[in-house]
Amino acid sequence: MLTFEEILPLVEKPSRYTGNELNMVVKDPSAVDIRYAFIFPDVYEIGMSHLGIKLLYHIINNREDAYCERVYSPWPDMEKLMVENNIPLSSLETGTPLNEFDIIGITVQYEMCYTNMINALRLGNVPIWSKDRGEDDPIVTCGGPCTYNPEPFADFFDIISIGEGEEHMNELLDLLKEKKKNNWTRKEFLIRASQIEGTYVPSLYNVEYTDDGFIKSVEPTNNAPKLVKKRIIEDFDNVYYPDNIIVPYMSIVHDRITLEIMRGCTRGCRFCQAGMIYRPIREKSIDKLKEITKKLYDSTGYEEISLCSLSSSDYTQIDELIKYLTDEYTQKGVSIALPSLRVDTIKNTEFMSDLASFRKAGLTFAPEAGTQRLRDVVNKGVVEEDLMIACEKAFDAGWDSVKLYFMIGLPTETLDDVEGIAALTYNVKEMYFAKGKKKGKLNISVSASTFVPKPCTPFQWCGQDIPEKVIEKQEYLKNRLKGRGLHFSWNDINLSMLEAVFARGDRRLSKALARAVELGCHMDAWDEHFNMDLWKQAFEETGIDYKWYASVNYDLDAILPWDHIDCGVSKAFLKKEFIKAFKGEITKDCREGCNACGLTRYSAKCREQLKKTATEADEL
Amino acid sequence: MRMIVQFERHDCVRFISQLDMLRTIHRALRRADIPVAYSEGFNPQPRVSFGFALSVGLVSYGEYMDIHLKSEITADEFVSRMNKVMPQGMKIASAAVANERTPKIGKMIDCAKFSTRLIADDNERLLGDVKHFFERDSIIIERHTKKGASMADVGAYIYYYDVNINDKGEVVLTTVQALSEEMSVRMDDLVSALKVFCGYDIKSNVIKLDTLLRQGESFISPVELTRLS
Repeated sequence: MLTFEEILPLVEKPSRYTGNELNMVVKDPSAVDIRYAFIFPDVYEIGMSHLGIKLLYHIINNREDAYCERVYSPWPDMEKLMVENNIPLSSLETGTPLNEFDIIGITVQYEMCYTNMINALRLGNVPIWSKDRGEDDPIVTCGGPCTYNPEPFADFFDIISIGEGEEHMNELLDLLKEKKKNNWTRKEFLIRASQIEGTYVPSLYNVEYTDDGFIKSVEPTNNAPKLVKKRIIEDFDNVYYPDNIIVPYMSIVHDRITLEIMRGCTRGCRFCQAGMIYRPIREKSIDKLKEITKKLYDSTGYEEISLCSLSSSDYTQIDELIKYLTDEYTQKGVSIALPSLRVDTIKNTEFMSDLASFRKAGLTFAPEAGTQRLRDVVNKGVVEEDLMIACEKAFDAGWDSVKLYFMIGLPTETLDDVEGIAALTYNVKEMYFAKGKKKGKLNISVSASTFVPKPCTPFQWCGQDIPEKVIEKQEYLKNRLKGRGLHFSWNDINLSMLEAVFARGDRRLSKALARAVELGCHMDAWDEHFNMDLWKQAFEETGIDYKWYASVNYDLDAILPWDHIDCGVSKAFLKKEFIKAFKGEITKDCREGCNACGLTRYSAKCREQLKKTATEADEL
Repeated sequence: MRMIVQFERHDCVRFISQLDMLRTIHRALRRADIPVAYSEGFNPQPRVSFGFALSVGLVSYGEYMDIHLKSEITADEFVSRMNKVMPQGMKIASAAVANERTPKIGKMIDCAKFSTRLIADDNERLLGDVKHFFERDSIIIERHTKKGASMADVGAYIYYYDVNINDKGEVVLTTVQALSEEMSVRMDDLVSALKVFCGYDIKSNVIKLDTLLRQGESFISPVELTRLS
């Protein structure tokens, strides 16, 4: 048997496991009431890049009565050695095994991390099923975008937080402190927790199914709410933002200061879950952003600042913000990254030429679909001219490579729409050559991922394209997008299919998930570790028809597995959007007029906008 | 101006790579607001250069770098400002302002000093065997370099050794050996050869104490040399 110290030199990238980074929080664990283990169920480089974890890590550690420590999934080489040598999964801060914490929080960002989160519990000697946990086991919780359909993993969790966690976290920890003080049982605590808004306690809900496999009913018990409302932060400008963030030694995926300039998006693309669940739109003031940037720069010394939002160019004062950051920080050798630029906003922005001078990395534009017809179906609100102008601006500013992002398998798509992807690409290519640029330098990367219908979107009722159809479309594009300067990439259909299964599935899937973990499925998001044969075996052994889950078209009147979760946007609005989609009708940006999506129940600003829209309509 | 800087890498971060260390130093320089000079060109980088790469997994108390600065700053101020912002696990040990006569860091280094703890079932016997190992004129070891493994006689490249038993009864070996373009004797390779020579189980733990330049029979560190120049 080897110790943890002894296995470190034997694994790839040992600094994934050694912590002690700059700004890591150090506390005396015996001096706090609550010990919190925060798990990001993927490898260190991915987990450390995530903004949400950075926020919550510091929110918890700002409390004197709590110590939050980080845990990431071990890479398979490490996992193997840990299991062989009986070393439990432990925190980076103090090396404490998972099962010694009071509470565990897991962030659920992506369907293909589901096995990792169950595996993490297993490696930390925590019973994986909520029902098997005893009074001394940690309370196991999760949060994040995937919890808008928590059902496929509901049975593994004691508590699932719905919506934005900044305030909910503190309320939950206060209650946990009460539990310890008053010696409440686990069950008593969970029942009380279910009364905090935004808290879903799956064990308090009974789910029944119809004979043909759909949901018959979801009934709460012990006064748990029938509809669990998501949490939102109303005062986004003043909500806590950390003064410092952990700066890793090893290089991570997003190794930089992340500045969250805005939350939510008003565009209403019908395929986009983020655009629905992060509503309403809220901006941070430019003064607040200046203050945050200075503090983070001084405390980290990072050489890159990245603006984070769903659509950065929609930030009201984007030009002013970029000018400020450029003036203030580029002389210090800092570069500014601007992901999430909408194609149609580029024509109105001034900053393109500024950016070119210090950042030569690629630019990504996302027309999403190849024809105007289909872009209207998905309400993308982008026309071909927008893309051409954006690319032209990019080429003029000195870029020679652009990345174009599309989806295949969108509802109503035909081969004509798929051909549209190729046609659009060739138009960009010709425009580049027409500028007299050197042919050898051009690089257009076209990526076409397979559409995965997501809950809480207007396409939540739609089944995914069957694999045969997807492959036909991929083959078509592979043949069309050959040649110099063009690079086509696509997703493994099996991966996309599993995403669809778990995105819209129900509680019965948890058996298959647990079995897949037993069989050795983990790190499924990594090509080299994804093993479809094992997944098939897991589904077969647990009697799950996974293909049904991926391609089922739910009836508009059916009870959906996630109907008891209120994502803010109302089901009535989603239905309306679903119907408009199939008619090819567009819904405008809600900043131009309220579309009554349901957020008026949550946000005073939305209520104002609704009133304004109604008044304008009256005047007309 | 140019500064010659000695820094340490401690146990908890001994697995980070050379590139990780460079990035860590760059970021610390920004946090400390040190007026570091940048390279010219398309992608300006802070003008910081290290000597020879430190092996991953090794603790060191004597790594060195050259830093070019845009404006004057004293060595003491540099050290104190940097240490306020260095992460757990790395520390600036000393610094000296260079002048035109000060060579580049790579030219100021030709050997490294190590302390190795050795533990066997019979440490008295081990002590004797270690002495025998080093007393020979010819010390043939298997060297592992980027080009692969090869046998070499490194007898002439071990400039100093001393071995004794500490108060815990462990054998402590101190060596100074070549570290240069022409020949480097890796401590790993030396310890492996020692283990083969002894023929029984030995646990070992290596710490790099310093990186040095030979001056006649004695050794001098780059910071000391800079102060003298």
